[in-house]
Amino acid sequence: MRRTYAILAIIGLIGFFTILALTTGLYYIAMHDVKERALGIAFILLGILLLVAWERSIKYFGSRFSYFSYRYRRSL
Amino acid sequence: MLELIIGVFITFFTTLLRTFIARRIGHVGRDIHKKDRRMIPESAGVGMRIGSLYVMRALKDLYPGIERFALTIFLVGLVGLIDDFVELGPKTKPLLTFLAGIPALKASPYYIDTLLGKVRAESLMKVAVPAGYAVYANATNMIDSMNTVAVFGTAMILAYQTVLLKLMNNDYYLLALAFLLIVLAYLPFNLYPAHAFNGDVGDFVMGSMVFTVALCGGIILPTLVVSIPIITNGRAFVSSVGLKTRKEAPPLVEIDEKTYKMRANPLVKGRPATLVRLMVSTSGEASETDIIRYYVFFFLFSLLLGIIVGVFYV
Repeated sequence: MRRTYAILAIIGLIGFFTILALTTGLYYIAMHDVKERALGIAFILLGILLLVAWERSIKYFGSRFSYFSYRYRRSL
Repeated sequence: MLELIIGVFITFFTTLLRTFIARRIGHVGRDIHKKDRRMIPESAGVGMRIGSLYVMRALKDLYPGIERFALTIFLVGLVGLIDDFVELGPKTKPLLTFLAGIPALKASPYYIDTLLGKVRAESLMKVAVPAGYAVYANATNMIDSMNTVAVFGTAMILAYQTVLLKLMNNDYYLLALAFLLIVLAYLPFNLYPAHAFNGDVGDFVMGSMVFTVALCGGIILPTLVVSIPIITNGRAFVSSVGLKTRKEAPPLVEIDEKTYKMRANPLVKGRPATLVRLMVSTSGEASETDIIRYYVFFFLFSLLLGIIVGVFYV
């Protein structure tokens, strides 16, 4: 199903940006400059935000297109 | 090179022997996704454990300190093997795999690679190394609910690591290649329709091999990116039901007795929100082969993302 492939790609992209944001945050936090450290914290916060979105997206898509959902039954 | 070929033969024949012994002693499990609900030998992944330890011993002159990683893989595999016979609790398994990761700590490089460069993070890595082993071992185990998926995913990640390390002119590409060949030697046993189950021992060893290469080769970030399906599934499971085994958690899908297709149960609190459930619910009904196809797509998609990250490393 094309819908499943598209949803998996979206979840994968959220995961990808989460990992990038967290590791970039770690890089800047390890620097000595205060401004760079602040940037690091900002990246870490963004990473945490994306981490929550990553987890929520699975629950969201999982419940939105359930076999038992009205939307699915109507499409039968 | 001869050692790698011997490693392949050891893996293949010890797996064959293990499946034979498992049938003889009745250590078999039911494949609930097949119409005939056939009985399949358990813990066949023990062959990969023996094969990986052999190649690590054979390559010890090439990589100083590899004995410590070999000890970790030995211990992580032992935890899996014990769990296959005596069920360990859902909290004991992560704890024991964490402890098994401690021997690798002394030989590990204390830096984290990012897209912008490497940073030294000694105190962080002291926790991250054993935690990485625990996460990779258990997350690989969590994704292994259908035939082929965990073995295919691990083989793809190891193939990616081998190519990336070779392009980086990193000596650890040979270790990655050795592990890849071991997993490929085992793949026919678990390929759909499976003739053997990996067991926790197989999943734990596969997860440990991937993390060992990532750690030694300094390619943690690209490995994390290509492991997105494994991490996503593990995170979704733990965040929805906490530390529980698959058997303890309420069933996430129902299998139609006539068509043998799966339908997702409504998502309520306490029911695992795994990738399988997501795949089944978004497609309405799905057979085991559909799920395997979705997983293959997801792994290939993360491979594409991994290639993008890999460009910054070469």
